[in-house]
Order: sequence, then structure tokens, then C-alpha cells
Amino acid sequence: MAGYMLEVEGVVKSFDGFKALNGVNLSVEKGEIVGLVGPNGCGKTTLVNVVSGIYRPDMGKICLDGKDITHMPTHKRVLHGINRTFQVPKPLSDMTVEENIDLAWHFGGKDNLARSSVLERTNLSETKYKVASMLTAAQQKRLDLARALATNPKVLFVDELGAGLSPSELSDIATMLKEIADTGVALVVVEHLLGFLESLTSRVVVLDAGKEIFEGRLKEAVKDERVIEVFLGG
Amino acid sequence: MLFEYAIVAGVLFGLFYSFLSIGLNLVFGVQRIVNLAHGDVIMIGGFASWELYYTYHLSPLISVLVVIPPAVLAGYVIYRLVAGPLSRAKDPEMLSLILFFGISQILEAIVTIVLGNNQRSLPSGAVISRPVQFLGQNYPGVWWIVAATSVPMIGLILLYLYKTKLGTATRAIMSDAVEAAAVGIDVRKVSAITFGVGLGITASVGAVAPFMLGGVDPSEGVNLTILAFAVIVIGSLGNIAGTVVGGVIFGLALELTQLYIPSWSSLIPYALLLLVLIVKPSGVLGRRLRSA
Repeated sequence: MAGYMLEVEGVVKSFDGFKALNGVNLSVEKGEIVGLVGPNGCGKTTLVNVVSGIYRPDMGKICLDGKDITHMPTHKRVLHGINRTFQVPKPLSDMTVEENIDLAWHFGGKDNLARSSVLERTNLSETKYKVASMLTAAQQKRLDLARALATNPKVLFVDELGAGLSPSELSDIATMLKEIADTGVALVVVEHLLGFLESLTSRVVVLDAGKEIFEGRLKEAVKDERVIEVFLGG
Repeated sequence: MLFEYAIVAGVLFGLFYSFLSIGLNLVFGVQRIVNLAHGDVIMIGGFASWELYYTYHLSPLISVLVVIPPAVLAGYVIYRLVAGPLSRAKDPEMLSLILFFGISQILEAIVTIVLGNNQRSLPSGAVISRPVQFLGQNYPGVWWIVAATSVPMIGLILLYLYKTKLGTATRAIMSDAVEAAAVGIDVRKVSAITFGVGLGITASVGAVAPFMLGGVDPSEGVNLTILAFAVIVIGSLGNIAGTVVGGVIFGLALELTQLYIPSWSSLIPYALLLLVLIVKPSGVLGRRLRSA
């Protein structure tokens, strides 16, 4: 299985007996963009939380670039190259955009290239000196992405970055994500907007009840009976 | 004239109350730990200062700094011991209440066993014996000295929070611990250091507290914890700068009540606390910090 930047194998995570993840597998190559879809409550965000270290899995294994990181705390995973964005970003609201990015760079990155380019890559150069609390919701989401990029990740989970954005903002984000993948970052994009994913991903993984039920191109996914059943509640 | 006296005394005591409460707010702001042993740390700082003064003839103004390192170390170790159980708890705030209530009782018992149940006082001559005249009124000089000590000590905490990388990491955790970890911050280590700093500044105020409270005794902890709670809730829980506002409001309310309706003076500050909770639950300087 050499070549995968991230490998998640048979991960199980229960909360009070409810199996949020039930033996899920996920592999992502360097520079690849994989979509992660599924109905609400299927375990997408739980998977992001387990991979980024907020939750420890009950069973299973997570490898980053061949290294077992299953039991590593979050901040060490960041240093090893896993990061994620949040559905509801919470930047340090009394600091400027630049200070927020500097903080991530100082603690999680130390790669000068990442520090100097993230503002441009996330289209935040003009808001550099703005206090984070003054940003629009869309800008705060981009700042969250910039925060993650400043730590120079090898694997990046993007959790519903597109929710609530206008079509033109969405296409900007898509371009942004493609450019990030082009630099070799393995991207996992969690999203409900299928059109957005179609333009972006080479393949999608469909989750249901904490387990993958389909893996392949989105075009084929929408024809798959199990996927249709899950989404339409058949 | 009396009104002016109450205002000046209120501000002097207010600064002292801010100094007395800031450690509690720091610790709460970072990990939502309700440190019910806060007042006992002040008490221990007071006895340390008393001991250092009578045994080693060390000025309490020097003890203010001397007691900090051992308290920081103790705080760091205590945090490391309780952090595991707290992080696994379903309701960490409730568990911290119980844990630190226990620690508070233990500290009080140990001090009582070792030093006896007597109040001890520090003579104001240890710092300054003459009164200070201001706007035609005489005030105990020691009030001014303690107020003047409080300002740079609070300043040190603010410098730590706003001008050091560690302080910035602390603020990031206050804002959101999960996001802070995603930045690459070692949340548990920084929290342990912050808990240490919180205990350090709290032991520090203990070194001069006997001058303002009339002495130090093993059972004073509970009352001081409640007082500090009132101050940080009035100012705003989790907002460090709010502690200063809360302290001064509390000091003024206390002094003015003592002047006009002295029999009510033990009631008014807490009535003020309730008023703040009803009218502006996030505190005078409050933002959304409390709900986090």
C-alpha cells in the first residue's frame, strides 16, 4: 500500500454505545482531492475529528506517510502534517488575520514558504491587518484554511468550507483547493454540494452509518443503488 | 469629605481585589477550572509572607515575588495530576468544583495542623507605618503600597498574555482549545503552565493580603474565594482585563456601603453580583466568553 499519504484502516469510534464510525477505511494519495459525502450523522465530521486527533479511535489504525499516528495528540499530528478546517471556525477574534496566521506558523509550521504565501493563496492579502472578528463569514472560513495551510500540512481535511457560500465564492474556493492539491497536499473535502465536488474531485467516498459504502467517481456514485437509497431514505 | 474618602479607599481596595482575583479568572478562562482552593492559596501565601518576615526579616514586598516560583511549580504539578481525570470527565467544570473543594479542605486542614488555628497579622511597619495624606484625608500608608504593588503585578499578567508567545498560546486556548490544538499548540502543557502562573499570582497577592484583611488565618480561604468570584463575575468571567473593572466596582461598592449603610456592607457587593448576573450576565466587560 505504499504511496498513500494517509491511510485510515478499520477505524471504530463509539459514543455511549452508538457507533459513529464502524470500521471505516480511507486512503488518500499525495496531491489527490477526495470527496467525503454522506447524509447527516453518517460520521463524516467524526472521521475528521478522529484523524485530526480530537477523538481517539476505539479500534483501527491511522498512518500518515507510513508512520502510525493513531495514538498521537492533536498538536503533534499538526507538526507531522495533518490539519483540518472547522465547520464553524473560531479564529482568535481580537487578533489580526496576519497575527492569527503567524500563531499557526510559529507553533505548527515554521516553513517560511507557507507563511509568506498563505495570504495570497487564500485571497486574504487585503485583509491582512483586519481584526479577525471583523471578517465576513466567508473570509473567516478562508482564514481557517489559511491557518491550516500555515502549518504546512501534507494531508488537509476541509470540512464543509462551501456551506453558505455564493456560486462565485464557491468557484473561487474550488480554484484555491486545486492549487493547494497541485503543491502536493492530499486533500479530503467534506461537502454536501455535489456539483462543487464534481468539479473538484477525482473520486468520492460515500459514508453511511460510520462505514464507507461506495468509492469511485461521483458520476457513478449517483447511479449506485445503495447510495441512492441512503440519500433518498428509500 | 467622607464621600471622597470612600471613593479613594474604594479604588485602593479595588486594585487589591483585582490583584486578588486575577489568578482565579486566568485559571477559569483557560480550562474552565473552577478553582475553589483559590482563597486557600492566598492564605498560604499570607502565612509564607508572615514566616519569611518573622524568621528571615524579609519584607512582604519582597515576599510578593519570592512566593511566586514555588506556587508556579505546585500549580504545574497539580494541573498535571488532575488534567487527565478532568479531560475524560463528561462535565469537567463540575468535576473541577469537587476536586478543588477537596484540595481546599485539605490545604486548610494541613495549615491548621501545622500552624494552629490562630489569626496572625503583619505589622504595617513591615512596609510603611506613617499615613499618607491625599485630598485632605489621611489613609494608612500600607493601603497605598499594596495598591501600588497590585498595578505592576496585574501588568505582569497582561504582559505575559499579550506580549509573549506563551501568552498568545494561552489566549488561543481561552478562545477555543480545539482550534488551539489545530494550530499546533500543546494545549495540556500550556494549560499546566497557565495554571501555575495563576497560582503564582494568587500566592503573590497572599503575601500582602494580611495588610488589607487585618491578618491571615487558616479558615479565610472560603471567604476569599467567594470574594474573588464576585469580582470576576462582575468584571466578566474569562476576560482578564475585566477583572480590574470588577475589582474596582467591588471596592467602590463596599466602601460606599460601609460609609452610608454600614450594616448592609456585607450584603451589597453580593447584591451587585446578582444585579450583574440579571442585567448583564456576561459581566460589565463581557463578550461571549462565558458561554464557551
